[in-house]
Amino acid sequence: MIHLIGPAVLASALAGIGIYGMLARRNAVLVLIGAELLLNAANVLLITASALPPGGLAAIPEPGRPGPTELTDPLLSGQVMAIFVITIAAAEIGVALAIVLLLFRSRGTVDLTAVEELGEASRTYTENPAGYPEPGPRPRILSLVDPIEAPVAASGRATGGDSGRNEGPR
Amino acid sequence: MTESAALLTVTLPVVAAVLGLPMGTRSRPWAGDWAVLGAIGALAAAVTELVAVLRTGSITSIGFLGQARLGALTLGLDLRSDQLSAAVAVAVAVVALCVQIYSTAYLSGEGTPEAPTRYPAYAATVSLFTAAMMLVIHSGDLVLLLIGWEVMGLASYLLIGHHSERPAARAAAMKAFLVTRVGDVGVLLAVVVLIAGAHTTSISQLTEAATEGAIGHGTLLTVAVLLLAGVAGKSAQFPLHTWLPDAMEGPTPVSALIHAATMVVAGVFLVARMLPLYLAVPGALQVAAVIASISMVGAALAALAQDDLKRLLAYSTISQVAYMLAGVAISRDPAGAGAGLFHLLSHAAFKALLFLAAGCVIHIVGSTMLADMGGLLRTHRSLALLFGIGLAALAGVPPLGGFWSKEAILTAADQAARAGAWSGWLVLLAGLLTSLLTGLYAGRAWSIVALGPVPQRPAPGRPAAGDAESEEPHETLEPVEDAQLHAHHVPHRIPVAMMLPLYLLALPTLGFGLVLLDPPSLLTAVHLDLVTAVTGSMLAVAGLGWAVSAPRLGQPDIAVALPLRTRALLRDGFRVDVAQQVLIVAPVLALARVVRLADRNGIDAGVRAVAPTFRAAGLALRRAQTGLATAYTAWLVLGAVAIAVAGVVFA
Repeated sequence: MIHLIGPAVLASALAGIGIYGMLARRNAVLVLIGAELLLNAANVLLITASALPPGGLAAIPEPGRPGPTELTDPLLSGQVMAIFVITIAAAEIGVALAIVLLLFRSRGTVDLTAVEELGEASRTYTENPAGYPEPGPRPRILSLVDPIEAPVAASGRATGGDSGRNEGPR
Repeated sequence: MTESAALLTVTLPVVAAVLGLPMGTRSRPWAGDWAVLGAIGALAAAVTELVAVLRTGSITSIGFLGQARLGALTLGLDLRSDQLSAAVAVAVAVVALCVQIYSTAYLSGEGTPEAPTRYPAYAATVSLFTAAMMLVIHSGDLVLLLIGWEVMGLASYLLIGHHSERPAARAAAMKAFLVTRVGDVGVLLAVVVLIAGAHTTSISQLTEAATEGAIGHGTLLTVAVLLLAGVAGKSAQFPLHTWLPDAMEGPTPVSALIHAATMVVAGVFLVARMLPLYLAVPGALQVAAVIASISMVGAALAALAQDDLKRLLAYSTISQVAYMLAGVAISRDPAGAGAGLFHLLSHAAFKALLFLAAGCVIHIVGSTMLADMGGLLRTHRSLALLFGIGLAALAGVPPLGGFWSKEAILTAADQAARAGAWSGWLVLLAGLLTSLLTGLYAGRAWSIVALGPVPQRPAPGRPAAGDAESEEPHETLEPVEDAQLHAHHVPHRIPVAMMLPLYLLALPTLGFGLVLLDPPSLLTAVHLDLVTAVTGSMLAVAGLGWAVSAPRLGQPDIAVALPLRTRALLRDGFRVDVAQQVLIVAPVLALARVVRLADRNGIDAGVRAVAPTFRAAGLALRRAQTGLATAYTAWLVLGAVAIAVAGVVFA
């Protein structure tokens, strides 16, 4: 029986290194390794907790008192959860590496700071990433617009390309 | 007997109003028949009630609308019937009947596009007006009285604005409604104070409690002063009188109804009805006497300089109603209101006669301006004589009805003054001065309308601006066939339906003093002192003679003798309108503008700010979308840490 402090320190160290890796690294593969470290920190905590009696820390008696009737949870829920985590981590790493591979193929880099086009606040953001021509006024086939309002609508459309979108067949 | 008569008096005009209204323009004769029938029924019921009350005494509780249970308070919405209500009811019914008969001729035809007659709606509203007044004078509970009071305000608004195509009529209706409403708020508050302070609004219970001193002095004083506000509004007393001259925009029979019997005397009636309560707080009665004295003299002076016949009569109404209010206000015991009520009844007859005769004159001339009138005595002798009877009664020439009632008030004021009341002196002096002024303006009207030179007749198709009677279809006015009148080139014949009410009203105008031979207990306090009677009537006759002889002394009429600026000031009613405009209307409008600004830029701005706020928030959140996966991870970690911390702290 080892002391609880050992696995707890190990888990926190793994989690800290993993978070640091995710936040500070620019290489996508290393960020993924950080995520793996974080998952394994969780695994260590789960397996440690499964060694506790049912009820967790609160069930451990004070010194001098009789111990609990069952020393470990017969269902081994912590270990089962760890198996789950490992499985999901395997699937996740497969998908994530596939994405990284595709990123590398299309951009020739796995530097995460180099791909920020989707952020609306980024310097490279654009509403029209593929560079298509701006959408003009739709050709009105069946006009339901009131003829009195029509000149107003036409002049309004002329001022901005994007107001044409509001005018569908009503 | 009394119960059913009182109930019928109140309900018959309502039935006439409800039945008359759906009789559309196509069945216009039916609408008239319903209205006249309703008025006849009301008159019969009122006379029956008066006879029954004189024989068997008054009844203070007649079941009408049952009881209204309002929490701790139970209101008995009952009627009451006594000599006061029965006598006023007869006066109201007589005037209402005359007005209904008169209106069938006066508002005949379809009218012009600018002023359609809309007779069925008009007749129904007049019936409703009558019913409201009947309810006011019969109600045994102040809440029920308030209902009638408010319905009367509504009906007057509708009738004054009857020709709603004209902006002046709309403005006058709105003004009448708003100004009387200022007073009505006082009545409403008085009812609230009574419920809070005396726990009852039943008039008989209040009378009893006030006589026994069971109600606190503060409550009584508050109630009395608040009711006075309503009285000043409805009875057109200073400073809330300004709506009455403007109300002349309504059809002339409506003016007769409002001035003679229904609207303006309601205020005096209310003071007479609540007199035991007022006697407990003499201060309120003194206030009423001061208001009445100011209104009396001021309105008589203003009437002197009017150049419009209807406005002259309107100011004379203010002055005469002030007489009544003064007569009630100087009373020192519950029977003391007799003189004021006596004047109320006689005034109902002669003022209705005056207005209906003025309507005939306007009908002939096609204008309400005095400058367009003249020579009536030569062209329409009987009409001129009837008009003259009305004016003589107004001035108080013996032995007409107005003489007895006015001198009774002066005598009562004299007695009050001798008993040491300063309000008695005030009323006596104001009354004597007003006697002279009344003689002057009555004589002026007579000298212009009846004696003056016949002016150039306006062409029948002439569009007369501000002409209330332009709805009269001139083609129906055929040249007269009567041989007696034929000699005098008379272009218009007056319909019988318009002359009949005049004769009907001339009877009480002439002979109202006969009531004093065997006075009912309501009028036992009415006395005539020889000295005051002679002084008052001498002043009146002097004024009358002065004004009538003015043309022979070289002036076209007596008002011309006044300096021009004084005359303009009097014609505009001392410019009270301007003062009210500056002191009340303008600040209220300014306040309204401030409120509107606050509403738009304060309250509405909060609502309008929702969209910009969310837009700004969205733009700010957009800054968080940097596109850096690392930054998103940082947010994720921060969120996880926040949840963990929250879990530890709140666990």
